[in-house]
Amino acid sequence: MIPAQFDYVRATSAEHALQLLGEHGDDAKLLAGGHSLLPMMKLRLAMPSVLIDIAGLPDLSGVRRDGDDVVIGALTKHGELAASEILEREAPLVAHAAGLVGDPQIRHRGTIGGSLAHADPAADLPSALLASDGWLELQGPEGTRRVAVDDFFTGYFETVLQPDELVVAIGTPRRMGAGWGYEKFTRRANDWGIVTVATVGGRVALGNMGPTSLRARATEQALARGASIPDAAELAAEGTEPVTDLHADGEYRSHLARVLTRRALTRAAG
Amino acid sequence: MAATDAHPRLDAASKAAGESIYVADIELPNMAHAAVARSGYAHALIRSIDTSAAEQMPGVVGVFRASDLAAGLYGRAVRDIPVLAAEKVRFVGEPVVAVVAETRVQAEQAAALVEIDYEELPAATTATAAVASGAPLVHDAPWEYPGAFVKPEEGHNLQSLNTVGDKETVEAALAASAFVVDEVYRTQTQHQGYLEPHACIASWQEGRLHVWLASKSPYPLKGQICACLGIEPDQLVIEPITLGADFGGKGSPMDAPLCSELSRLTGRPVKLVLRYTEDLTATDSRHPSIFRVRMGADAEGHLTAVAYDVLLDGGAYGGYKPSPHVVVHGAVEPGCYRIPNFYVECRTAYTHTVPKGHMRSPGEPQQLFATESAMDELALKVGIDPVEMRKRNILVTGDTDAGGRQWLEYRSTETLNAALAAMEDHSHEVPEGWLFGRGIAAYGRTSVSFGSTTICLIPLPGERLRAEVSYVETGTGSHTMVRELIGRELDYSPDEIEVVQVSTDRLAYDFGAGGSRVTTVASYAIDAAVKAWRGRLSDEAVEVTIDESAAPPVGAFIIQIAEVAVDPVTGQLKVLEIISAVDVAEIINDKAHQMQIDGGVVMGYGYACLEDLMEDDGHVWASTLGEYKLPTSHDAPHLRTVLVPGGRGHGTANVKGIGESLTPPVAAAIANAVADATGTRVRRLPLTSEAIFDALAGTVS
Repeated sequence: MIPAQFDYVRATSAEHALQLLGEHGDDAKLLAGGHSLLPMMKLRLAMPSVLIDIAGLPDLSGVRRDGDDVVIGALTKHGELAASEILEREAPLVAHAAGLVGDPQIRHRGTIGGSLAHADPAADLPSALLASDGWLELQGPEGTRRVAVDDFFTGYFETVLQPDELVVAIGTPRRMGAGWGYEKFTRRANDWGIVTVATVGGRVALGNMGPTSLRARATEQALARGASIPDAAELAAEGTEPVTDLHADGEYRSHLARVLTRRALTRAAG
Repeated sequence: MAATDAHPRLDAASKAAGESIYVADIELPNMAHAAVARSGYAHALIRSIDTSAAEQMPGVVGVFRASDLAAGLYGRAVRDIPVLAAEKVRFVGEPVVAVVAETRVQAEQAAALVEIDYEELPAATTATAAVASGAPLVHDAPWEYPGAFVKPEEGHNLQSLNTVGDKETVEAALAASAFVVDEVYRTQTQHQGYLEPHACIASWQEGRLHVWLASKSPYPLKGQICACLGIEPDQLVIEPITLGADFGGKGSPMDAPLCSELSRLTGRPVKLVLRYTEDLTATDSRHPSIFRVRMGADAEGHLTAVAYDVLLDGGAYGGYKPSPHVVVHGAVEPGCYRIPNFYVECRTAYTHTVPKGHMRSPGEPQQLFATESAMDELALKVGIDPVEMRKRNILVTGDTDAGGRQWLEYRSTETLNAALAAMEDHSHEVPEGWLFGRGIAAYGRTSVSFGSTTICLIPLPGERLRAEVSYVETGTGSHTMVRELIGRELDYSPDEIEVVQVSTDRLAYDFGAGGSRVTTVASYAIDAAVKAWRGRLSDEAVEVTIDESAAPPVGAFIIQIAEVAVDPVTGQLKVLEIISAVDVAEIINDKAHQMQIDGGVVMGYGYACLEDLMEDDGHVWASTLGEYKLPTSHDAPHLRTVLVPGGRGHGTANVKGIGESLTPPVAAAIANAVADATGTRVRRLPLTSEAIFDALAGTVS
């Protein structure tokens, strides 16, 4: 299929993008790397009447240190995250997960801000940032606000991001030397995860185990109580309702969540 | 080693550079573009069609339904496919209304506005459901279609019933056998996965119809279009094209009858290029199958009898199969073992699903998965090694197969030993906690040479030569092979020879690519053309037409060994390596030959582990290339080929076909390796992690 008809506008600055969003409201979509939005449009799951291209905006790209955090511009591409020396040293979970997104072409175009705003529960970066206790900086007509990743995802492809807001930055605490683990179970090398598990600093995030990336709270609590990794991992699917779809049965997903959590925690502890 | 110095493929540079002109790239003056409104129902009556909104759209030239067409039904053997659905639709995706517009996008946007009012009817969406008495009829009287093979008394909703052998003697032999396996094996729907989707241009010009179709068989196509449109052969010319691969899926008229009618109705050339989703959901994929295999052996493991009860899902129309028996012939082949008593009963069902057609080695991947899995299961019962089981039963020179055929030689022992030697030559690193397994599968394939072909050699200025051929380069290197053989025989260098496919007006005939016949038949034709060239009295062109259907009975063995690792905790399967021992004669171009081997194995791997159109409830759910899992280079296992040279092939070039030889045994080799690793048998494809996990957990067989 081909996308429904739409208009295309190129934003020249973040403020210009916000102004265009204000004018078009719900009818507009921001276009960055386009690697989630354009497929959705081709399938007519998204039919924006206006595309506001923000890919060329200056100052929204790159990785830097800021106090106790690493701050990542929203337009930073997955490939750049995977290759970032700062992330490699201080948030290696994020760099690793970014390096597993799709294939090199996708990593060359897709952006971290786009991936989080798209809020696909099967994507790599939402779970990695959730486990990392990350945050997003959102810019709107009234200024900027900071939202914890914990509070960002509200449902299947849904977030607290308002139609007139733009993700400008993503942050994650610097964790030099902290143990981390990331497990991704796929049919093919370049597929979305059937289930993914990310862990660092005692937090465990599950991908594709529900409508959003979500915390394996029972596992985290068990770990905090001093439970062994195998015992804590057994609780990974508690409280989740994974779907049965083309790729896997829900029960199999729950099994994978337990196994992958054990492996990720073991890797983090090693 | 039989291989020669491989010259580069003559089509490689232009394809790699994006310079090749495919059907979708062809622009004709005043050309219009078509799009199709398709059924959303598996089975429904068409109550009314409202095209008014579509007709008002910008750029629309015309909107057409079945009653606007003069065409009859089309098909390759049985003619049962309507160009547009008339009173009822029989599968989700069936064309109902066609829109012609100035641009493709205008046509598609208008087609989306066609309103079709349906009365949904109960549907039979699996072969098992369809053949049950009382199931909704897909066709009221399928035996009345031109070219029909099925007879009224043979069963409910059948495209065909094919039997081979004698049932009673097989039943008696099975009853008297020391060991019997009786199991059911199931396979899924596989799409050909070519890069180029189906594409067509048709143009009526001055009383003649010109067709450019992404097709592998222009001459049979010509007859099929004439039969459908009721026109004379001299009114129709099939133009040469560059094909973006075939893998068996591009042998039917597909959209040519529709485009031809749209061109007649609008007075303009009309192009239709399918979107890949249309190609996945509405063309002619590989038949899903249910094979009940009963296989008997005596106390020493010698086969006593084999019976197959086969049910194939043929989809809504049978016309995509070229066999006059309306069957994928590989499903009823007797195989490569000494089988004293053999019986096959194969029913191909009509169902309310997307029609099924031909794909690389039609019927054989299904059959090999079933029979080579059953061979291992029988070996287990007899208590001997799977390799030993095959050694005791595989055909050797002097034997006759269960279909009464005899090859000049059976190089089974050499080929089997070559595979085993390669296996012992190395070891693999297996992840900690994973289970390692090996599986073997054997395949004997007759190397055919049937149907006629024509070739013309034309002298060009500057000591150059032009070879005009009547068959399409489907992407296999079949035109490069002509250059190679002629150059060798007549002492021309590759850059002194051009090889071109010409229109059906220019040369007499070719049967088309199929059955791995092109290399063998063309080698006979080139042999004849070279002799004629040498015997010429002046510097004139020579043209020969040959028919070598009486060529000697030769064939080839393929022995594959798959080595796998299975994670017992998740069921995850890694295919570490596939060893393929290939029984060959002379090789014309070793690179092209190896590409057929590697591509064939990877296609078999995709079938075994990944690819599935996920048909359910009348829908193809894997409707994009994101959901339809073609293997990537990261997924493909390590491949190792051992050529076993010295075989007897066809003609003075001494060649055997290769294109379809490697795909059929792969799934069985992998399934056997999984069983070896885990002690658990999976009898359904694809071998997903979840399927293996479920089998290990004992929840399914």
